[in-house]
Amino acid sequence: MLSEKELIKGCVKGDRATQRALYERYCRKMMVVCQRYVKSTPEAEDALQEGFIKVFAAIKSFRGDSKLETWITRIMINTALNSQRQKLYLLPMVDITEIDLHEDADISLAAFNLSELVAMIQSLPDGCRIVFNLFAVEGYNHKEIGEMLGISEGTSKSQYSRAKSLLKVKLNLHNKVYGKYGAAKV
Amino acid sequence: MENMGRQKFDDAWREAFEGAEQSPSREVWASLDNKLNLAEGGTMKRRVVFYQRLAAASILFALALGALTTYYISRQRNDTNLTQITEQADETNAQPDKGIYAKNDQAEAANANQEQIAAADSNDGIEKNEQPSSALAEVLLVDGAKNNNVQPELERKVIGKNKSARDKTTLNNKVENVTATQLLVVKDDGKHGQVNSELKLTDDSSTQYQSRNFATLTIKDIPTAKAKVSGAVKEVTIIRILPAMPASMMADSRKDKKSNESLWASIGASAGNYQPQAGSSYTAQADALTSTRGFALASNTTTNSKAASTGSSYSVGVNLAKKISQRWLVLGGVSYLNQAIGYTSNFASIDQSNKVSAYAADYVAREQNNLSLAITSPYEINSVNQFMSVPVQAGYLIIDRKLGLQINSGVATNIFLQNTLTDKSGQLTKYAEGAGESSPYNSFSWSALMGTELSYKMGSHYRLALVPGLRYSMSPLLKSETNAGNSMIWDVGFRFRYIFK
Repeated sequence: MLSEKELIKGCVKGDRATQRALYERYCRKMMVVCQRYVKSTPEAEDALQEGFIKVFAAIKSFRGDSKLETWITRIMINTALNSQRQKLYLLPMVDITEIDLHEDADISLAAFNLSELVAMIQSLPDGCRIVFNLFAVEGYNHKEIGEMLGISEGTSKSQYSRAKSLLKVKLNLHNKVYGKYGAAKV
Repeated sequence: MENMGRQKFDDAWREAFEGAEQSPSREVWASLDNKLNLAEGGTMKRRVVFYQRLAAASILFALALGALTTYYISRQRNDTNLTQITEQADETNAQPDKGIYAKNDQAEAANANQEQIAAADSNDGIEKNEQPSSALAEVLLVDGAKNNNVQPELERKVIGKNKSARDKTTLNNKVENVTATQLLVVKDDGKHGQVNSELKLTDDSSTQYQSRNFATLTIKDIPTAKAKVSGAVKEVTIIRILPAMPASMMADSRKDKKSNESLWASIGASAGNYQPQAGSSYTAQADALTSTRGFALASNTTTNSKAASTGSSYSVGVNLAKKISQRWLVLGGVSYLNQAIGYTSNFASIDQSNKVSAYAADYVAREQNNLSLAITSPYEINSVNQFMSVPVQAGYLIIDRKLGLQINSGVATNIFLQNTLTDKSGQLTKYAEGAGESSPYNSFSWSALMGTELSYKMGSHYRLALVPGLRYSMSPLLKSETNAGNSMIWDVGFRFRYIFK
């Protein structure tokens, strides 16, 4: 098994076998990343493919400041976001200044398999899906998300709040979750 | 607030996707592989086209440079040869009774018998332009008369195709017909100042007059009248039809491929061709003549030293370069420069301790308090000039990638170190002349520099560069203005760079 350095070195040289090895190592994780940001699996595969092309083209500039996986993930997110960017223009610009921060009850998603969770995320409206992913899963704050997507911080908050509400409904429908969720004021 | 906003709900989702994996379909890699192949092919194709154009442009540039150089050198030689021939013809016409080298004013040309057997007459079946290249003109100065009664007899014998065709011509005509080598033969019987002269012209190159009692003077490269005619140079126009590579073809990858090299040091060496240009032939009158090499001398014999048309040069040095913008850079450094050229000289210097050293006419013009000159048989000298050179150049990066191409131009300050004259036969002592007030050489001189560097990056810190260049002297090397010449060096070298990061 090739080390991370060997993978990078081979990809910089354009060695196809090494590129294949790097793809095989990270494609499954990145597939999930792409699935979370787009509406369907074919779209996710397109984003995945485009993302890896960018990875191979830009790997010379990878300086090792972060883990290779983190760097590839960032490229995949940007690629997926670009594929959805047109849809972002249609986001309803509803600003909110405050979110009702009721403490969530302990929940567990362990009873759900990955496909179910991905399906729930993909069923969210475009804006909600992206903002929720960026905020809840990736850990960006609303200011950063606003800058990334070219929307206001308030819009990011409203999209997140809506996403959360919709997901709670879906989870309740599946009747596999426990506890109560706070409601956001819109 | 933001952290507070992240609640257990978010954490649950983050944990659920942490490390989650889902296999994409196999078609993804197949499609990706295709796209990579296409991208690679396009890049390769662009690269090939670019380097093809670069190679074609380089060849055109080299051809143009070669043509210009050839034109320039041939014009220089023609001018020099025409001047020499005109001067010699004028001298002979002005003093038709004294011959070419019979400087002895006791010789009277009225007594000279001139006989020519050869192609002087167009009716003899041999054209004038077809004079045998091995023809020799020999001047025999034979001691025969006493009390200054010199009887120079001028005779020219050419063993030609038609011996019956004989004609008397003037000495001036003989000079024009002489094509290769002239020998001055001095026979000594110990009676100085009492010399009979006899001038013989023959094509028998096997004749040797190099016994102990003879001194021979060889003067090469006297061109024929035909050479004057054939020196015409055609002007060649080269039209460059290949366009430069459009910037748009490189724009997409320019940012990614630009190098981050901003400061580097290099060591290098080069070797090439040294052309002294003007000032390569000197003639001076020796005031003090002394016996050396076992033969006697006429008191008014002309001293002569003639340099070869080209010599050799090499240099070694270190350089430091700093990028001042994306394309421009400045270079500086220090190098040792060695220029060597061959001379044919017919005199030597003798110092107060009677040490006989190799000598060239470069030094004759200056004051010589402690040296006297002695006429010798012609001998070969190797003259070596040594300098410490400090170049300052501006460079422009045409290509700044793994393969780099840059043009450099600037000036160099040359600090004269030493000149040494070495007799190639080893009979005479080596003569050395340093810098200073008494030196015939200027302590400082300037040269214009121009060159290119074709480099290849080896690893992240090293580059190896091929460096063809031109060094043209802008100020005279010699203090004597009459002998000053603008020398030129063509050389090719290498530089090994260490890139600081």
